[in-house]
Amino acid sequence: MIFLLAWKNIWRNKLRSSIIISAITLGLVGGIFSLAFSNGMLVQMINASIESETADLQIHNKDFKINFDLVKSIPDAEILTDKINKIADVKSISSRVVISGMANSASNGLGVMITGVNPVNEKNVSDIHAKIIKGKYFSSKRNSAVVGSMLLKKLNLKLHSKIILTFQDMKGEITTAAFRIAGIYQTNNSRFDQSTVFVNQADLRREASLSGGYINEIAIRIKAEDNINRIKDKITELITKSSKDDNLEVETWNELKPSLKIMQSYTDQFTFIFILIILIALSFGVINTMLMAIMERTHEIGMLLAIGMRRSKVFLMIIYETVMLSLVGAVLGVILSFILNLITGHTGIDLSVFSDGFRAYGYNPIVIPQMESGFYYMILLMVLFVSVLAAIYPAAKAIKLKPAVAIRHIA
Amino acid sequence: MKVIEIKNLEKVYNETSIPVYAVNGIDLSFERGEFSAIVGPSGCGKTTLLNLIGGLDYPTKGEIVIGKTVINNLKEKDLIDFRLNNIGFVFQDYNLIPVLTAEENIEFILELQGWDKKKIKDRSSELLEAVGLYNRRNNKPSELSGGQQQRVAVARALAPKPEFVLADEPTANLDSKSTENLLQIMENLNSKENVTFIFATHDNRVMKRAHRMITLEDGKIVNGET
Repeated sequence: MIFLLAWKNIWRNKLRSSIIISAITLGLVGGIFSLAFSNGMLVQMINASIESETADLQIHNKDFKINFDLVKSIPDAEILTDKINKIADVKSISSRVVISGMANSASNGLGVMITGVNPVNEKNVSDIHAKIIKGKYFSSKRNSAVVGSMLLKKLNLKLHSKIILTFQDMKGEITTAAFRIAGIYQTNNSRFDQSTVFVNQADLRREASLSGGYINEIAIRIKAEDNINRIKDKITELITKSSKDDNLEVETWNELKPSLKIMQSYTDQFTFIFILIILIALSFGVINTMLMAIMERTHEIGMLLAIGMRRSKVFLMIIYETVMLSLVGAVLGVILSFILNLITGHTGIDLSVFSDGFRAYGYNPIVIPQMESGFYYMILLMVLFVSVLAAIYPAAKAIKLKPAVAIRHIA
Repeated sequence: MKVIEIKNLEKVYNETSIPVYAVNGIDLSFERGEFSAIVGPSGCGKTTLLNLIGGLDYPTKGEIVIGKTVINNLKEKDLIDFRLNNIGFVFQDYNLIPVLTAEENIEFILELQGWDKKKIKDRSSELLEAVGLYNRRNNKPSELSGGQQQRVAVARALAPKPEFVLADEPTANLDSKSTENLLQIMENLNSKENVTFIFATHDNRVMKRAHRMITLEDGKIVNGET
């Protein structure tokens, strides 16, 4: 009956309750949607990074990344890739030759990573082939290159122009090679587009005096992201058992790009704090509403105490009222924001007007808001928690009433 | 058999500045089944005395014994339970819970007492029949007249089978017909349930019906002391 009474009490003053419920609903819709928006941006950024740059996992010699020393390669890479390919959760694999160097044109020169790929295998690991905006993904001719649009712009080059790549070969000699631009790609990360040149692996090996099976990077895509750490452990175990080099290491995308990991964890924390701030702000509205309700019902609460309702039950009644008032708003807010996220997640939000700015930071200008379903439950739990806290002050005020005095109170 | 025994009762307000003796040395007792009225001019201490008997306030001095319990020695929490189980209240302005129906208002107090659902239904139906409002049981207080609301309040007061009912100016807001009706119902319930009724009133219609009158003046009994 106390529960029923609390529920009915909410609807005594329909306008007042509706106003606070609307405030909670709109506050949560705004909060959840903006978080879904920023979360969507980050998830897209991470996915794009995995699809175009890092893949899910990479294998290197531990010392390779210190100064990209060509000596630090992966021995028997072909045998190793065959074995890794047999792991059930591995979707695709591509072996790469990565060399740090310079890209030059007649007008400019820039530092780049020259990535020698096997175009057929690489298509299964990276989506660069799908990002070609001009030309094609390698030509059948010798020394063809696929270059990012930003690099092209900086070097003032065009499709089919020659690009001069300068790098150290296996002997430590500075080598210069001319490549013909077969295709221009454009990802959502203009910094990546400016700093990465894709060439045919065979051409790069030849120009850098590398042996036929030379590989210094293996990129792996997996079937399910959730299993990434388990697969990493499996591959590590495989390497330990079969590789001659005990200095190889497997790294996940977030170890390869710790900035993304930091952003992800920052976003998670920010999400929590942001929602908490919204809820605390809303809780003041709830406290105010409940204090008004209690002031109006002083006489009635006095009567309830007089006829024998324990103070603990009066306290509980106020807690129920506050929690139900807040939860009605929260449930509506969650449902509305779920629908809004579902619609915009389907259509996307086109912010192409700001595409240059977005791409400079690696964001997709068409943002797809997204939020994990668990987040909605977390919101409801947070509302429950905050509303119980918000109820304490009004409830404490209610139970301090003296029945003989309260009963004479005129509302 | 004595239901209530009051010994040398005092209630003083503003003890530290200018003391006001709302109740000043009252000795009084009530027998089971009495239908009594405490009367007197406004400010004579009727409501204060009723509040003290009902355990809504603590006396400054003296003792109130209900059955075998000295209620002024009870802690606040125990006093609330004592009120729930032993005392019925009828207030001047009905004081029903506006969001509950007539039936729910009666059931609410029984639920507070921990009655089981079947017994709650039976008891509330019995009382609604007794006050002539069974067919209005699903109406909210705002859908009932003042007299009808007060009849529900009487039913609620009697629902948990209290030792006695305290009624503070129960007819003050009612017209003659409703007053007569209400008093008749109360008299019937008084004899049927053998519950003590104590009124605080200045309504002549109540006084006429009362079996005993206790007149107060300046916090003291001037007539009807036992």
